[in-house]
Amino acid sequence: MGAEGEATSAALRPGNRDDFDRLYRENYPRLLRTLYAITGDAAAAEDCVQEAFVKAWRAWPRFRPERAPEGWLHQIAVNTAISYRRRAKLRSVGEILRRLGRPAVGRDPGDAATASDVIKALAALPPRVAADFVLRYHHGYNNREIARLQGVSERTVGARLAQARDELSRRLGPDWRGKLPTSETAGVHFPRGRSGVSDA
Amino acid sequence: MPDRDLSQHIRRQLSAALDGGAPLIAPLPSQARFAAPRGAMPSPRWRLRALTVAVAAAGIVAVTFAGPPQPREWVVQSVNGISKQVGIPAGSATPTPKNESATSGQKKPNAPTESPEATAEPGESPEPAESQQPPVSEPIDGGGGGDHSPEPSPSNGD
Repeated sequence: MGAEGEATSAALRPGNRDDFDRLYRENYPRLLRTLYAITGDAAAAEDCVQEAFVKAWRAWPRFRPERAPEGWLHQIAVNTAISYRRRAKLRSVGEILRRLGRPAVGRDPGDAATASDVIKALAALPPRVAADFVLRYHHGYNNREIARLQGVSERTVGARLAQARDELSRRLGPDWRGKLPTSETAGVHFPRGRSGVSDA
Repeated sequence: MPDRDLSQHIRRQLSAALDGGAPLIAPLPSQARFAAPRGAMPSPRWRLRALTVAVAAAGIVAVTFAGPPQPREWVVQSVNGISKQVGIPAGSATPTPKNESATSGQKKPNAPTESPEATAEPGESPEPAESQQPPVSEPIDGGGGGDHSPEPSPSNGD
């Protein structure tokens, strides 16, 4: 479980640099993990997180304090990662077209060593599905909190999680399909001090 | 649809994959990318100063290298350069009007054989002859041509 994600419930002043620095420190780890699952590349995830904070900094003076800052940042970051994946896909199509008729280039041994099967399977999921899966099973959010972060209904979150489990179980094994909650596993462990997304 | 949960083993595997692949080295806020544009962007006052300095430097360079126009200067320089390469003294090269005046002006005082008397025409002597131009201070008394004494004779006083 990620122990990152500290309190962000203190009053935030839009446009204030210190408050934005605090947001950056508190949300960077969670966003990096989530975007790593979406992109499947650690360097690309760092790049996307930094780019997301640049966009957020530009929009920071217009931020509405009544909105949850975690969800605001999360949506910016996920949209940035989606744009990255779209561009990467276009680049890969261009590479395929350029290499038509030529021998295929072998994979970088470094990539094969660092990118685990789990990361590759996560990166193959639709971006928002992968983000929901990481938020739920790595960061410890419940469905309601994820729904608030993503700006969708809880039903949508449940459907995305089921889709993720199905896809991952096909790629990684039946254990990834999960099991129905029992009395022991019903309680979801939440990271310490994560109160940025309240149920209010 | 029932909300299934993952086993602890699978969760640990997920966390290990995420934490191992993307080590958490969060840059400081001051080192983050969003902090760079604000710090790197110069203020309008500095921009104005930089513009002033750039204009002044451009003006100095223009005044230094442009200068007054010197027509045909390149011809003189190229001819002198060619004459040096060939081995001909610069003065004996085909002179341009400017070069000729420059060489004649330099050689006149150094030439030992050239005197004002030797170069001057017979009728253009710098020292006027006595026979042709009498001195202005000599009184004209209308007397004999041989008497040039300015003193009066003693017989006039008696």
